[in-house]
Amino acid sequence: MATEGSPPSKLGDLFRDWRQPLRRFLARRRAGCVADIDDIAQEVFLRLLRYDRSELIDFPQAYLFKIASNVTAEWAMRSSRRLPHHSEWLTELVDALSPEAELEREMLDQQLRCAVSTLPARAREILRLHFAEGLPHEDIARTLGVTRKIVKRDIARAYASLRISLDRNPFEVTQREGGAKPP
Amino acid sequence: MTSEARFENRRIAERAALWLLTVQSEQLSVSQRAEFIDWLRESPLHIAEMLRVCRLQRDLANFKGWDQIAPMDGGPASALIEFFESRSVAAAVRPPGHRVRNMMLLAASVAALCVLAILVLARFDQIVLSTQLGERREMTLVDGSVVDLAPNSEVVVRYRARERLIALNHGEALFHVARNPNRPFIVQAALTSVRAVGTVFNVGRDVHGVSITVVEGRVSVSQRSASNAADAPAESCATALCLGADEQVSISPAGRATAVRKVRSDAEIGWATGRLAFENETVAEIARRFNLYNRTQIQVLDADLAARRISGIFQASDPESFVAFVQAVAGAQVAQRDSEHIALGSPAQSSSGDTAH
Repeated sequence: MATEGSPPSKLGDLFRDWRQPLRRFLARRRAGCVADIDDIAQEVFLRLLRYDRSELIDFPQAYLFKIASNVTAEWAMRSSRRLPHHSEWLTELVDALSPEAELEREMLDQQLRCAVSTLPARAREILRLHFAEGLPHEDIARTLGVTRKIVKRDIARAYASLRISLDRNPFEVTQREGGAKPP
Repeated sequence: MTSEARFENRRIAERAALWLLTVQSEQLSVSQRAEFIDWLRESPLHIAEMLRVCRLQRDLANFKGWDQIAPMDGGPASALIEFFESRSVAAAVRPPGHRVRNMMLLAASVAALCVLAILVLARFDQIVLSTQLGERREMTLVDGSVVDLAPNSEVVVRYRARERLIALNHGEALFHVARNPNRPFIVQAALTSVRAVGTVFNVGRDVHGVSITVVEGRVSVSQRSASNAADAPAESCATALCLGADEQVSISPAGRATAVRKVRSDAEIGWATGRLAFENETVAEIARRFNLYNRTQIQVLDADLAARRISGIFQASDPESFVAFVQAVAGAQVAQRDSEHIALGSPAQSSSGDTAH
């Protein structure tokens, strides 16, 4: 990502707690890296299972992001040591202003613009009010004359649509096709 | 992607988005936190989806093009057209002077097509590997993973772009999984799935069920219910079990898992190096294992001897050493012997003078 500045505080403090590796990792979205999330998630999953449930319940989100941060950091270290070709995402991020990063940034903007445009009108407006004008959910609800619950639901649905259309790289359709095969 | 799978993906994505919004906007109650953590621990897919939706939110926060988004009265139809146009000709919405970047985009999509072609080819990659009695095979798969196949065993290798699937039809195999961040390695035996990223583990399958032993690294073991046996394993691992190095679990055909046992994995997988290790195993079972590896078949005539439990490490190709051991330790006698057959009996049954040491 071209700018590594902290996101607006209105989004909550979640991101600020993340350590660099996870933030950087998530900043990547080139096709080749998309699948890495599954791998990180697999490891986070295994570690979460090792924890005592009663311990996790105190701060589920903190544990989730802490573990994810750790896994990502270890991953980056390991891959730079053992598999030099897999460490490219890390080194590229250090050089965040490389032409390639800029290109990627631009492609993402382009994709986002397209994806957001396909959302239902109200969802689009809610996202715009939230991210461009910084309105909290309550104010958006008041502006549009709907309940807070609808705002939240619309955002959640919009996130799901956006995330699916953004992460759908050209291969994914083919790859998953045989997913539900008989054993 | 099947439509069900797509629907399921979307459902998980929405759930993850709702959790993210909830976590950010309010203090969670104890029961909400419990629900959240249980949901996360249900499947790696849920965690992946959480991370993806976080990333999306971050991207949206950094997105600078809100002023170009059509306001609420802009019809969805025009937006759709813009979507397709901009997908196919990126140049249309770009200011001039970006020709170089457009070329790069083009190059990127050409590269994507090539990869696609390779992946499509890879989909039809299905290899059946099997061994006969007395045969042991070691095979290196295209990704560098190595499968050691025990005698009288069969696996089917189906490599997909996003996962490496191995079905253990019967027998036993040791997997040295080449680490690949992009493709989890999944071994399916009956209704059990063992999922790994890069590790060494052993899976055995017989009438008593499935047994999994981890030598190195970690795997997650999950069980499909018989009713939705056709489901993809990752989608339905409601009860996943985490297994670490030197740990072993057995799962009955009914799907019941034993407690996780600590084992000496090097002994457990000794078969792959030509050694057979037994700990407190019946003579009958040991004879059966030897018989898998050798043309010379051992027959245990005496029921007491068959039920007797012994421990030891033997060379798999040397049934004589086992016969000698049973003679020494359990007082068994060789009742009968020819070039391909050794019958073991109790001392009372034995014909004398036939013992060769």
